[in-house]
Amino acid sequence: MNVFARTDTSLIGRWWWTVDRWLLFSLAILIAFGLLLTIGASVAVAERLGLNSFHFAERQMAFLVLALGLMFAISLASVRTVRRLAVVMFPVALSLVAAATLFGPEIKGSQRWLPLGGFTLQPSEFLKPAFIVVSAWMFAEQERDPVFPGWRIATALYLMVALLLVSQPDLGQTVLITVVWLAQFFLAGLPLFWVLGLGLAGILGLVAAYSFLPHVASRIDRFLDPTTGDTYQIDTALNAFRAGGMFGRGPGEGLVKRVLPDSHTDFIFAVAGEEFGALACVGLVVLFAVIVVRGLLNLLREDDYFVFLATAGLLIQFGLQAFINIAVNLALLPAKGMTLPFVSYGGSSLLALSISMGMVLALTRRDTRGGRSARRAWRQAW
Amino acid sequence: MPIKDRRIDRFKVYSRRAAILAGFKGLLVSGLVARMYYLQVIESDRYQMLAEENRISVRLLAPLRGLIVDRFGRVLAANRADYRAYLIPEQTRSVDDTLDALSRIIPLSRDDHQRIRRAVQRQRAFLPVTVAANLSWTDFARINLASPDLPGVQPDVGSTRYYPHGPLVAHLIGYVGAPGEDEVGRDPLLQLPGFKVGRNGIERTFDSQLRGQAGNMKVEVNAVGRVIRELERKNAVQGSTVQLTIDFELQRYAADRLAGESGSVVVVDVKTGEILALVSVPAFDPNDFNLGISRTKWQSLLADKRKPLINKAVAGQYPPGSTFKMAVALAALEAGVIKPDHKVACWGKKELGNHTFHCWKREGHGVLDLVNAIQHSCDIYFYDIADRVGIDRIAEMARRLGLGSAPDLPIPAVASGLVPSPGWKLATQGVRWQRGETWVAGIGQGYITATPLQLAVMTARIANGAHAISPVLTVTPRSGEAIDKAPAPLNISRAALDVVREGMARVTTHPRGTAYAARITDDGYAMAGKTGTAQVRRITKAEREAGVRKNEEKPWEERDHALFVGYGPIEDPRYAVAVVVEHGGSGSRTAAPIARDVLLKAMRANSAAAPVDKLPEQPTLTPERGVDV
Repeated sequence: MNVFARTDTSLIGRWWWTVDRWLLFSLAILIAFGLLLTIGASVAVAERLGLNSFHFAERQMAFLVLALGLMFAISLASVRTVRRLAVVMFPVALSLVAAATLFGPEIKGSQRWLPLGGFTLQPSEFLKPAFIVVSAWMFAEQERDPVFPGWRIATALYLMVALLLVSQPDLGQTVLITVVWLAQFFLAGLPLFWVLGLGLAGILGLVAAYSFLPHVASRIDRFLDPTTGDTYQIDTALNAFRAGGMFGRGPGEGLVKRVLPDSHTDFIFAVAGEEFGALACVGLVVLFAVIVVRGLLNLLREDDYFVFLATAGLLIQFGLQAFINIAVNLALLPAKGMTLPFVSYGGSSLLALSISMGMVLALTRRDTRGGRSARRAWRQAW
Repeated sequence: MPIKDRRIDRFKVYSRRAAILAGFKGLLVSGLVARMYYLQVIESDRYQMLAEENRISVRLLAPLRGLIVDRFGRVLAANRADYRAYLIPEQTRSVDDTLDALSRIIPLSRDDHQRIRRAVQRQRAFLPVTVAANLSWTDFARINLASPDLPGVQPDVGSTRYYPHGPLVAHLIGYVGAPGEDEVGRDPLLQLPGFKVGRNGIERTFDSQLRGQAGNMKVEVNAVGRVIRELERKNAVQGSTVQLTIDFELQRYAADRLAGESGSVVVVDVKTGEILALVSVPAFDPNDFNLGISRTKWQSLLADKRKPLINKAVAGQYPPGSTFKMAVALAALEAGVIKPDHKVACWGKKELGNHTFHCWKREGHGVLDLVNAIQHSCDIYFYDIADRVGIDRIAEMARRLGLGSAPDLPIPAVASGLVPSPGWKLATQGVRWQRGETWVAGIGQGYITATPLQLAVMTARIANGAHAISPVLTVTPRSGEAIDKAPAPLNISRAALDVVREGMARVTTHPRGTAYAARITDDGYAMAGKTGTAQVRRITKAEREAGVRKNEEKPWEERDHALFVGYGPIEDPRYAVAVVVEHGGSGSRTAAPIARDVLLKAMRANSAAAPVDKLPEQPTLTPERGVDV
């Protein structure tokens, strides 16, 4: 890789030498494979919906260009800029989520989307990274100055976010953001008593959701007892995996994508399982694991507490989202509206993820952190 | 605790907690991988086995249609190889190129091109599309020869119905055709391409017996339904053979004898009622209906004024004319209103009120008794006795002889004819029966009509004398029908019948009988009979005064129908015949010779010999190739 000389001190040159290239390459492979799958699966869906065959593929590529630019731009930013970006994004995304909850059109029983010209925006996707970074900042501030009520502020913000998401209702995102927030809290040194208490509260929350949100109840019922309702989606997905076997039917040969609704979004992993087989699926899982583990490993050497919590949060969110999606495809979890990062079709998800990963890339760059002096102060404090 | 120590402790907590989280993550990932291993490796094997069970497809095999044979086992309806060509679109480089190449060998119309393209677009690319059917052997051979240049074209030999004697038995046997859409839904067999069902005649009545049982073939197919190999085969069972009472040689002879005319011949076994010949000419070729008759052919059949589509032997209803005089005579004798020696003087005409009734012989016959009256077919005599016996008793006798009701035969459109009565006239026309109408009925004119079959049955019953035999057309019983129905007694006195039969014998044997010219001179084959000439339209008074025109001078449609009924041999009657030649002129000149020839043929050939038990096997379909279908 002699694209950039070591001595290149331009912005791009410095970026190249400081960015975590393992992470970068893993993301690149993931995005390429995701694009391949989206094109394959979405053609069948577009034809079924009577649209131009490449309707979804073209849109996804357009979004991808935008997303890659966004990710690159954000990865150039300093830690402070990342934090500022999150602080600006958070209230905007929060109000958009509130707007969607109040005024958004009802699609499949929930109000999560805002129509925006020819594009439907799902603001909760953007809320996730913003919230994670902001709450990481709050935890870090409390760590830096125990008088600062960071934990309380983070908890208050979390309750606002969770309340909005539950009222959409979007239980999947609520669970996701809860788990990420708890993980951050856990990393921030929450006493074990509280960890157990919150875990209990989470379970109670799920029971409450089951009791008061009918669509959640029906999904969980169907998951626990397949005979109570329509399990067409998940049965079809499972058959796809079985039919795929070890090596798959071959690219483009899949039959499931012709019959399965959402095969280009929530159930794209099943398409991958059928067409590319178990080996490719394990490869995909390993790719997600590499991104998360590599990012977390970087953090072991990290001494900026905000960077540590923010990156860990973003990576856990990324990994957990992938896990939930794959687990749903494999019938390990009840069905949720959760996309597979960078693989599923969807503009909001793609742009929000590129912001997340842009932030992760920016936060994990070596030596160029805006808070160099702060770190030095940290070291001196040892 | 110093602040630095606290920080180091805290940092250890963070690292430990990060490690716990990472371990948790690792657990989740291994969960996913384990699940995928279970689904895609372990369950996949089981799934392949399940899929294996779907790979066997059962396909129907069309049965061959049963044969239809005559009483001596001669095949009247068979199956023949049908040479066809299929196109398998996926095996062509280009459907258009292949069709172009094919149309240089056999003609393909624009309609064919369109139909083939539509089928190619509609169905899966490995399923054959019929490009051409009913090919001649030559064309079929040429396609086979050119097959290297015709990728995707597959020659094939199927079976189709074939009537070796087409028009000679068309009205009896009927024809087959593609099942209608309403029928197809019920029976999967009917969905087989090219499967035909009986559409008319015996083919229709005996369809369930002729159809046979479908076989099936288990084949291995792959995921998209393409046949990989045949696993098991249960051959179809050919439909059962239907045997007719017809003697085909007699049928053919009678049809030839009638050729050029429009009319019918019916020969009935006097003892059993079996129909030995049932001819209606002109006829159509049932083979034309097999693959769909062309529009022009159909139109010309419909337009023909000699009505080739009508089975005149059972559906043609004619005034019986003088052939009805036996019924009038029997009615009068049985009622006791006359004795056989009852005499009437004929002077050519007879008055009733202000109306004059004429004899066919203008100068009159002089004084006649009953036997003479039948021999000469004197109209005046029968006006007299009809008037004496009355219409009710004439009608009763006519019915006893089989007129006025449709015989139960397994062919369509069997007509009942009409035996009028005063009650019938009042009910249908609201007018009272006139005495003159009884007179007219006495000579078989007026309202009364009968079919050639009814006339043959009437003659057979007179000749039989003991039993009211009913006509039978098939040796094979219809499914669900009692095989043996003992004929009812005729209940007409021997003496009366003897007088009438004597008169009928005199018709052909007495030098002054009306059909003496058509007598049979061969020993032991002598024929008795009765001529009839039925007016198609009434002769008006003005015409009679201007001189009755000869038949030859009238347009064909206005000429009289020529009729003859007879039986033979006189001594021990076995065959009864009825001949009707539409607009044939005179019964004695046109119909009687035909009847004589047909009857003589039947007697010489012993047409009524017992039907054969051993019926022929289905002959090999394709002698040229010997392909097992």
